[in-house]
Amino acid sequence: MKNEKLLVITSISKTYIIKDLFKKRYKRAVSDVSFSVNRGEIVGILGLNGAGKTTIIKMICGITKPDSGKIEFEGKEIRPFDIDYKKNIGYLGELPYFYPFFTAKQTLEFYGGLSNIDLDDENIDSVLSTVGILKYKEEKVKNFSKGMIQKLAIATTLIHNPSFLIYDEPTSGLDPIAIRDIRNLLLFLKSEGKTILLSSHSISEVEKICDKVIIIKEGKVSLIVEKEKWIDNNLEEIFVNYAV
Amino acid sequence: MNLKTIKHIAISSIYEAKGSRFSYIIFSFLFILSYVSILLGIMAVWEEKKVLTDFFLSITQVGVLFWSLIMLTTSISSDIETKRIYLILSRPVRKYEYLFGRFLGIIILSFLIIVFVTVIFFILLLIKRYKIEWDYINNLGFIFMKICVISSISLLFTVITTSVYTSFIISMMVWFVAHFVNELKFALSKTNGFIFMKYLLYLIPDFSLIDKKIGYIYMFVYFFIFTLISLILFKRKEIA
Amino acid sequence: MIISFKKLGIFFFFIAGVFFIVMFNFNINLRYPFFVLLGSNVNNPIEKIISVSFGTRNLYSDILYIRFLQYYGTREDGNWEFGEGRYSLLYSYSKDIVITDPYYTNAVIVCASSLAFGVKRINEAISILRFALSYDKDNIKYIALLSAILTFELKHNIYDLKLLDELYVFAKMNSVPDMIRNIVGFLCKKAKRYDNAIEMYELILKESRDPYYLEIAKKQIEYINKIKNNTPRYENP
Repeated sequence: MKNEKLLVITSISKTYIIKDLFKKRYKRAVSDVSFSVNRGEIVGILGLNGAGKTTIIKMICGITKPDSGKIEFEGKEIRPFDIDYKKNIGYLGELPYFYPFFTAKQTLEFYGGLSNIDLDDENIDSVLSTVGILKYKEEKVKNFSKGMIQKLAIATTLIHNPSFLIYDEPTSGLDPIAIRDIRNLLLFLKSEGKTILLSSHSISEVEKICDKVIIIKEGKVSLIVEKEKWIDNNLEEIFVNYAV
Repeated sequence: MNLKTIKHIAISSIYEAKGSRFSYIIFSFLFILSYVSILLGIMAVWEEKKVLTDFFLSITQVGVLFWSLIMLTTSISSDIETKRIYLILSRPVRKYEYLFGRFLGIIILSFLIIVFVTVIFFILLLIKRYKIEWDYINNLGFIFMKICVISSISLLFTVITTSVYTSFIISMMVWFVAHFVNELKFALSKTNGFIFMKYLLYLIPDFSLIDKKIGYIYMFVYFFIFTLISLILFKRKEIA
Repeated sequence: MIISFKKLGIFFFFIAGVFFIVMFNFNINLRYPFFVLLGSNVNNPIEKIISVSFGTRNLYSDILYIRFLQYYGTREDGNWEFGEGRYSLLYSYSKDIVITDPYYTNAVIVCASSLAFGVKRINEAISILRFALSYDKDNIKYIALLSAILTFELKHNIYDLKLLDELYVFAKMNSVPDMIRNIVGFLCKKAKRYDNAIEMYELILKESRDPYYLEIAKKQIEYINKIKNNTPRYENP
């Protein structure tokens, strides 16, 4: 069960068309990327700014359609924008932004509704206490700090109980205490049987929690390295050698 | 098409628009103008009822027009700019369900604002002991259809450009031209050139036709066509 | 390529809709006066265009009417009483109203009446009503006021035959009351348009159910026929 492949990406590519006033430019964001994620793992994607991490994540989440390649989830190939597949994933964006006039409870009800789930107070309280913001349940989102918004964002990914969580830079812009809280939360979710794919700039965070790291350079997979390999070698050195 | 998802997005759209600062500005504006209408009515001597009726119809029309255009363009554009749309589209929600839900929410709230202003008007008429003409409801129906058509045009340009200003300006231009389409067609029919303009005018809604019985069907067809094109374009659009 | 029935249905409605719209938009329907055609007769054209383009034509005409009332309701300099002044801008204000909304019956009636009976400028009043009637042909009130103004003119033996002919055409329409047809018949008779007068009274006989007007019509037809037979040569003055 532990080595069962939950997600398999095979040779996905993506080229963006950038339209200027009189001409078009093509930008190859992702080129021939292949990797897999085992059930119960935390896998990290590392790379410089503009390496293509977010594009890969968007393709996995079904927000963008890959130009070529295949994505398989639980052994079945996913069609672009597949609705049923999205019931099994929870996505957290790079800079989560919620409707400022909603309370935390209303935000969860909204996202729960989008996943066709009727939430009762018990579900909402359970999720909010998991992420540690239960006492701000009736507080409007516009009054939240950055760390609280990040926790609320993680809560929105958990309400429909998906098996696969995809987080794009979950600790970006947070203070050390908040980073520690998020890290502990991710480890807790792993212990609950969730599979997590996260992208990050922070090598130290990735080192502490990930079972596997995929290094992306200029839209291509530069190296896939298991946790055992960097216990002896510093992950930062590996990153510098393969990502820069 | 999941109607529950569309309903859910529409309701959230209503809540968001209701709490917006611009909504409070428009509501205050409508209240102040309601008071101004009473003064104007007095000055019109024997035509007080007509002046009140015309005034309320005008402020309803202009107020709801600005409100719906600004709310629609800013809500969708802000979803895309803040990348909140990724959080929504990563759920089991189709692109056209999201767009139609947002649009429907604004249309429903426009309708509720029209009803609200109408209730104030009827109360004013009753205080002044005038009879309520149900023809007013018919006129409001025409206004609501005009707002729906212009909102669908605004939706189309929001999808194409994702710029709030461009979409708003083009929608307002179409609103202005639609009231003058007959005159423009007449003027162009007397000229030899401007063939492109003549054909373009056949595509712009003619708001003077709305007084005829077929007006509702005519406006609904426009609403259907522009909304459908918007949904199809948004489905194919790459959201970067 | 397999296309679902749903998509086919939507496509069909789309094409039908476009066809429907283009067919409707082929017609040119100038229901209101076109400001450009009227040229320099239009005061404050920018104001008019802005109000109309926002769809607030009716409200703008109300505001013009309020301006008219304020102007005519204010004493002119050097005069003791209301109504004693010349009110030189009265026609201009009236024209503004009728150009903006010729269907605004009460305002047009007040403007034309003020011009005709208030400041005794009959030609200007008739010009306002003529313009309004060119758009609102079925308006009984306009026709009634026009016939009243012509009756007033007759007292001064003024025969505006062109206007009488126009009034005659209006009076033949279906919805015109007997009272107006009676007046028009009387005016035609006074202007020696005997054939027109007879036709008007015959119309009353055919369509009226009021015994008072039926009796008048019979008597007038008899009387006019007598005049015609006694007149050596029917002259068109």
